[in-house]
Amino acid sequence: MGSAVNGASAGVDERMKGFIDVWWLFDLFPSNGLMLLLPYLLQKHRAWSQCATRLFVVATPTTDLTKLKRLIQTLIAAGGIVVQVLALG
Amino acid sequence: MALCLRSPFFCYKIASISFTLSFFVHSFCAVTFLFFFFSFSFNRQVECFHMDPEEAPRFQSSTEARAAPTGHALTGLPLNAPLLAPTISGGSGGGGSSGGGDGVELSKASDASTVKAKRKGPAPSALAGLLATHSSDSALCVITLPKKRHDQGAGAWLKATEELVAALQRVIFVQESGHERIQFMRD
Repeated sequence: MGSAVNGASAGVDERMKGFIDVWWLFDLFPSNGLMLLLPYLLQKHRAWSQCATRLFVVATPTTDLTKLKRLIQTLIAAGGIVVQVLALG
Repeated sequence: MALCLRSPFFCYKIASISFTLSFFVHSFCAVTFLFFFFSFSFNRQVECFHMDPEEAPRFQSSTEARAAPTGHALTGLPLNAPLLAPTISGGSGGGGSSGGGDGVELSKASDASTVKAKRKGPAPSALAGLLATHSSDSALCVITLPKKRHDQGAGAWLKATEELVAALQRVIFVQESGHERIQFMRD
């Protein structure tokens, strides 16, 4: 785990850039938020502090993405997160 | 340190580590995580996709297991429930598209449409293609550990798991114990 935190093959002092992607696969708020806690904790380390977090949600075809988007907005509003919700077409 | 995050051994290792992590979270829930959400200062981007669960059978069980009773599965999608009410205190959860309060703002959402997961190139599954399309350049991906099907051997499961994340740079698999509990509080 320590290696993953420090950037795996990267050096300890190397700062990672880009994104930390969290994938919610056919589930909403899996692990009661643990999957969002991990990138947050990682970003406290200097190696990952430059990374932004993206959240990808995969739903079944029967799911109304508009409702899903609204639900996630509610969810995120509850957490007070500044967020941009995008549902791509 | 050259560490192959996608090796079968590391999958097991990550699984055990994630289980330990979840146990840690559960054990210290009373200590209270000081609502990490509220201190997010970076922009978080959310994207929604459609996919047939049969394209990802190892994740399909999560939709079946959590269907309507808890309201957490995406299949039922009961929108009337304040989904986080039991775990989040503070009362800003019912805001919908309004601001979160305390100076926290929500940006306006764009129009929703659908992204169809398609098999692209040599991707072994639609889900693997989706992961490769959107996260191949990401520094790290956090994904639920795929469940092993009953008719699937351990070796086949490991191979399939490895193929799923073959295009990703770094992966943390999270295995849910069901006992994770994170308490959100306002200061």
